[in-house]
Amino acid sequence: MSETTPRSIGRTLWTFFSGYGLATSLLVLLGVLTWLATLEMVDAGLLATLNKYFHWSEPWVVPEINGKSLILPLPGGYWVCALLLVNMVLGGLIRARKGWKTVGVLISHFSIVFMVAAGGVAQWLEKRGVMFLIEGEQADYAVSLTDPSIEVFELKDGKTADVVWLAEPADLRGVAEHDSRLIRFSGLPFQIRISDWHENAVVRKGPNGWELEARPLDPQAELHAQGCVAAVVPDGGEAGDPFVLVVPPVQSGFETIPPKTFEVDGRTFGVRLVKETIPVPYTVKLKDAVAEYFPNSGRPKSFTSDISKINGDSEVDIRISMNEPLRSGGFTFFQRTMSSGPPAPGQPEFSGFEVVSNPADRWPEWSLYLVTAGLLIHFIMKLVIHLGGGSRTAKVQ
Amino acid sequence: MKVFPLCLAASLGLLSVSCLKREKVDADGTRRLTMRDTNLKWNATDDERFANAAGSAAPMLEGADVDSPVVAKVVPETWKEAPTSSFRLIHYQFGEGGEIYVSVSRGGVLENVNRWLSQFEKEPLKDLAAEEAVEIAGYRGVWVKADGRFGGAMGAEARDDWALRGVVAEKEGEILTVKLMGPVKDIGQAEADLRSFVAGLEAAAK
Repeated sequence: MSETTPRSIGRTLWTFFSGYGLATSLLVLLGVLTWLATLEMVDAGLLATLNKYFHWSEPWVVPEINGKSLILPLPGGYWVCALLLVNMVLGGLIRARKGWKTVGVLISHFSIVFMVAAGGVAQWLEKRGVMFLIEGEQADYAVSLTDPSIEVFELKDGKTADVVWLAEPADLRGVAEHDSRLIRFSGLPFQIRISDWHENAVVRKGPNGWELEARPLDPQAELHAQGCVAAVVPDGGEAGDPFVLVVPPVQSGFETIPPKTFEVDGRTFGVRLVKETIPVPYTVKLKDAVAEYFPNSGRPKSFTSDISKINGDSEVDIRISMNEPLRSGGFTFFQRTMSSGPPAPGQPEFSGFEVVSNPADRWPEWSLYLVTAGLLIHFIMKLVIHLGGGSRTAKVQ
Repeated sequence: MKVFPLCLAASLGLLSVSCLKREKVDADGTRRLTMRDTNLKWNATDDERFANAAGSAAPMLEGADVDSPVVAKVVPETWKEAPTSSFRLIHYQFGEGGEIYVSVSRGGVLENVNRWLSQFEKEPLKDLAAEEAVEIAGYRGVWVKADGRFGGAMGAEARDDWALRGVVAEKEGEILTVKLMGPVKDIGQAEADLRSFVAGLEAAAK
């Protein structure tokens, strides 16, 4: 029987996007991308590789292994996951058979959709930084280890105004050494033109004044200090003299360079380039940092930080340890690092927290519970049906 | 299959979008002031702005008041000046990942020596009687040596086949450290350079 009926484009697309073929291809592709990224990570570093393979701004990836480019471009991991999400919703939820026998499978499919969505939400909304504190110190912000931002301050009545204008990491993404980018700050009477961007640079004083010196990229992107040449362009006016903006060399995460001061329309502003400041909605004070090490070694056994969470008049004592983060106000504080080795007597210890703001922070955990529950339901039902004589084999016999 | 021309068109569309350069952006982000913004230095000259970032023996952290108690009169040609901070008052780099820095610290000489040794998972010393003595600009201390696996410290990554050579010295309760770390394979020349460097350290003018 070979009767064929022409299929509409809509039907063809539906079949394609909800099909097993696409799901299998995408999963294989994700496996290949992950494998290639793992190989490339050795030379290129973790962050650069993750951005190249899995960031939304990279629709295509040309893998490089041992410095040699594989000519075949592959689709970017973010877009493969996005297509997988569509495929799982269409095929695994909408098109799938529904009934009490498939309830476990449907739960599992939903949880995988949930997990893939968590990755997308994290990529768009997650903020991740570090907060280093010496015992007795306090802070109400974290600092990104990797992402630069341009901050504009205004001096009003001899004091710094309450609002800081930002060109955020997304606004600076993709700018390259030979590019020029004009940044308009909402509500300010000027724009800033940046050029000569370097992902890693230091300032040196040359015969013509302070200038940028490019430094080689490090596989550890956290060590990069970005720099550029900037000029203020008043609305309706000519660009002012160029000046250098640079992130200070990374040592503690707290270092800043005084802003470049300029005036526009009689108002005084300052601009600086820094690793992104991530404000935290409360103040964290480190009261005691306790590091335990295995005897006669610098190998850590446990790190514990006793902190005070200060919010206005309220002060709450909290303990953060390696597997017991603090979750509060949309931020999670993980114990990241501590003073190296057993401290000398009388020397204050410091503690470092990884500070993460991610609405989908716990979605992967919940989706794992869900997928476990779904598969348990499915397998138990199958077992019950089998033991009850309801299997296909029994029917045939 | 009609779906393949569609996929091809979508792919080409994505490719062309990815090639676009953004020449203008509207930045509408704002934030409140934080403790990071306290004591902003307004109207700073470029010399003042970059003193902390240019790798000189200038003041370190913004707002911090830490000066090196010593100055270097002899610096080997192969060492390259590196950015300084309150933890690295004088800082150079050499070879493949090697670095030398001068710091001030607290505690005792023995405790600091053992802290360094612990970073290389070496047994702590009970006393310093058998260690090679050294004096730098009135600071009295000892040389420290360790080779092997460096377990990482203060943000520095762990390294195999790594070597430590340095001095921990004390004067009136203040600890001065000169620490060189680098690949074991380069340590012969590096140690010779370090000894010249240490011999050339002099007290900074008050």
